[in-house]
Amino acid sequence: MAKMIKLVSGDGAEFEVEEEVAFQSKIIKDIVADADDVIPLPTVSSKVLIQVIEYCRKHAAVNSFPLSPSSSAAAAASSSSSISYSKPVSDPALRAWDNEFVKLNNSSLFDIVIAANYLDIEELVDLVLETVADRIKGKQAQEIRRQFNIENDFTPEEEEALRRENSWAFQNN
Amino acid sequence: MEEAFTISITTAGAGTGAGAGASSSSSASSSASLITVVNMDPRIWRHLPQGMVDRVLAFLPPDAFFRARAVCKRWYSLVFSDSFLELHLRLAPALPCFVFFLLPSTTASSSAPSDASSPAIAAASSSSSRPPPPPALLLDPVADSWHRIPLDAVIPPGFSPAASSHGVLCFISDDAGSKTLLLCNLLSKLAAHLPPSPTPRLFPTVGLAVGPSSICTVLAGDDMISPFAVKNLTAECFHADGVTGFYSPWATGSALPRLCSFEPGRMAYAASAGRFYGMSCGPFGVLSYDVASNAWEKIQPPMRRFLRSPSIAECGGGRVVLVAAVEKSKLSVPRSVRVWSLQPCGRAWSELDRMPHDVHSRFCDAEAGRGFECVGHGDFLVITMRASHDVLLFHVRRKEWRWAPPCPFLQGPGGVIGTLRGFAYVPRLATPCMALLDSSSFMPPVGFDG
Repeated sequence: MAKMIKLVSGDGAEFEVEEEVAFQSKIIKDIVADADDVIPLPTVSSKVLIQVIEYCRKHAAVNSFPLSPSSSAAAAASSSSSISYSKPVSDPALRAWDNEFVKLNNSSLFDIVIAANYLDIEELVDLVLETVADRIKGKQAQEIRRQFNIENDFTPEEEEALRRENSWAFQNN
Repeated sequence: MEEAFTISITTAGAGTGAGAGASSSSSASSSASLITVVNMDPRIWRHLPQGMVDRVLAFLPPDAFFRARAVCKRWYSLVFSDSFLELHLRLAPALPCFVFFLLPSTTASSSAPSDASSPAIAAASSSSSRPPPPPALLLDPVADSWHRIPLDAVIPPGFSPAASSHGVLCFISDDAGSKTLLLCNLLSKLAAHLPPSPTPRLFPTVGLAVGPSSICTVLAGDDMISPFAVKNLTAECFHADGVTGFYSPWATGSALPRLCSFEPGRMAYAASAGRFYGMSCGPFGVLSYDVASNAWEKIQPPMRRFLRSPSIAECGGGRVVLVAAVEKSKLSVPRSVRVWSLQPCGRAWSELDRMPHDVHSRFCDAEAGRGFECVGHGDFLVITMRASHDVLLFHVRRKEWRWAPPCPFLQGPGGVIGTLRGFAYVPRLATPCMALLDSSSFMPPVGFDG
C-alpha cells in the first residue's frame, strides 16, 4: 500500500494522495521530511487543489524521480563540460495532455499558477506561464499593457527609436 | 485513471460541490468552456507577480519578445539583466531556424583550386572593394516566416559569413593571410573576435561548435605556401572551455589527408560524435575531423563516380547526411537528387530518400545544372541553388519535400540574382559562450566614434 499524505484545502476539505504524487510539490516534500503527514494549505481552495493534484498525479506517473525534470535537466546542463545545448526531448503524449489541461478560463489558470508557485511545482508554473506567453505573443504593445495594467513610460520619440532599432521584429510577413 | 486517487470530504464546507462527483477529469471544471479563451482578462492578470511576468517574457519567441520590449522601460531593459538572460536561456524554446546571406553569384564558390598556383589569388589579395556584410535573412521553417536582420552596425566591412552554431554566427576576414574570426549574436548585436590564426590562408573552411560555456573552431585548408600558391595542407583549432578552464588559441594543429579540397567550403558538426564533417572533391570524399583526437579521416561517399554537387549536412540527433545529384550518363538511369544517412559505424551510408518527380522537375528548372548546396538543422534540410532565390525544404522524419515561401526581402525588379548561402541558427538572446572571449575583443558598434 503506497504511503498516503493528507492535504487540507483552505475550505477544510481533505484530500488523500500518494506520497509520490504529493512530492511533485517541493514544499510538501520538505514538510513531510519533518515527519508531518497532514498538511494544511490555507491559501489553496478545494477547486484549485483538485486540479493541481490531477496535474501532479499525471506527472508523477511519467517521472521516475520526485524532482521536477526541468530542474534536473538544468543541473545536468550546468555541470557538463562537454559542448552541449541538447535538452531532453519531451514526451509528445504528455505534452498533448498538458495542452488539454490548460484549456481553462482566465480565473482558473491564474489560481492554478499562484497555487503551483506557492507549492513550488516548477513545471506547472512554467506550463501556465508558457500558455500566457502563447496568448500574448501576437498582441501589440498597447494591448499587452492593458492586459497587465502597465503604464507606458516611453515618450513617442523613444518608442519610435525602439521600433527602428529592432525593425525586423515589427515586419509584417 | 481514478482508482488510486481518493477524495474524502470530511466537512460540509460551503457546499460548492467542487469535490463531490468531480471525476477529476481535467476538463471537469471547464466543461462549459472547451474553447480556448484567447482574450485575457486584465482584472485577473494585472495581479500576476512581477517575477512571473518576467518568466512569461522568457517564453516568447524572439520577434514577439522584441515587440514586447516596447511595452515599458522595465521590459525594455530586461535584455541587460543577467538574471533575466539566465532565465531566458533555460526557458526560451530553441527554434530550429536558418539564416541566409545573399552572395554574389561569381564568388559563391569560396575555395580556390588546390593545385600549385592560381591567378585568382593575386587578384583577391589586391582587391580593394570592401562591401558591407549582407543582411541576415532569417527563415523559420515551421512558421514559414522570413525576417530581415541588418548587420552593417555589427560586422565591419571585409568579413564574410562562414559558419554557425546554435545562437552564434561566425564571420571570417576576407583578406588573405592570418585570419580573424568574428563571433556574433544576431539578436543582442554583440560581436567579438578570436585571436588571429597563425597560418596564412586564402579562403579556408570554418567549422564552429559552441556550448553554453565552450567554443571550438576549426580552420582548415587553403594554406598559402607562397604569396601566389595555395595548398590544402593543415588545419588548426581554437578551443575554450569555461568549465574546465581549458584555453588553446590555435595551438592544436593537424595535417589534412592528401589530395583533398573543401567544396563547398562548409563543415557540419555532429555533437554526438564530437566530429566535424565536410565534403571534398576531385575525387569526391567525405572528410571527418575528430575533435578529441585531433585527427582527420576520409570516408568514401556512396555512388562516388556518379555524384554531382554533393554536400554534407547535420540534422537533429547528430544524424549526418549527404545530399547529391546522381547522374549516370551511360546507363538509362533517370537523374535524381538523393539523401543518404551515415550509419552508426561511421563508414557506410543508407539512402534516406530521394526527390519525388514533381519536386525534382521544378528543382531541375531552378538549378539548371549550376550546382546546389545543403544545410541541416533539427528536422529540416534546406537546399539552395546557385544563382537562384528558391529554397527547398526536406523534413527528415516525415520525408516531406516542399518549397519555402519566397523571401519577401529578395523580390525586386532588376535585382541581381545571387546565391543564398544558408546556416543553421537558433535565435538566442543570450550566448554565454561569448563571455569566454576577452572583453577587449568585443567590437564597438560599427559607425560610431569611440
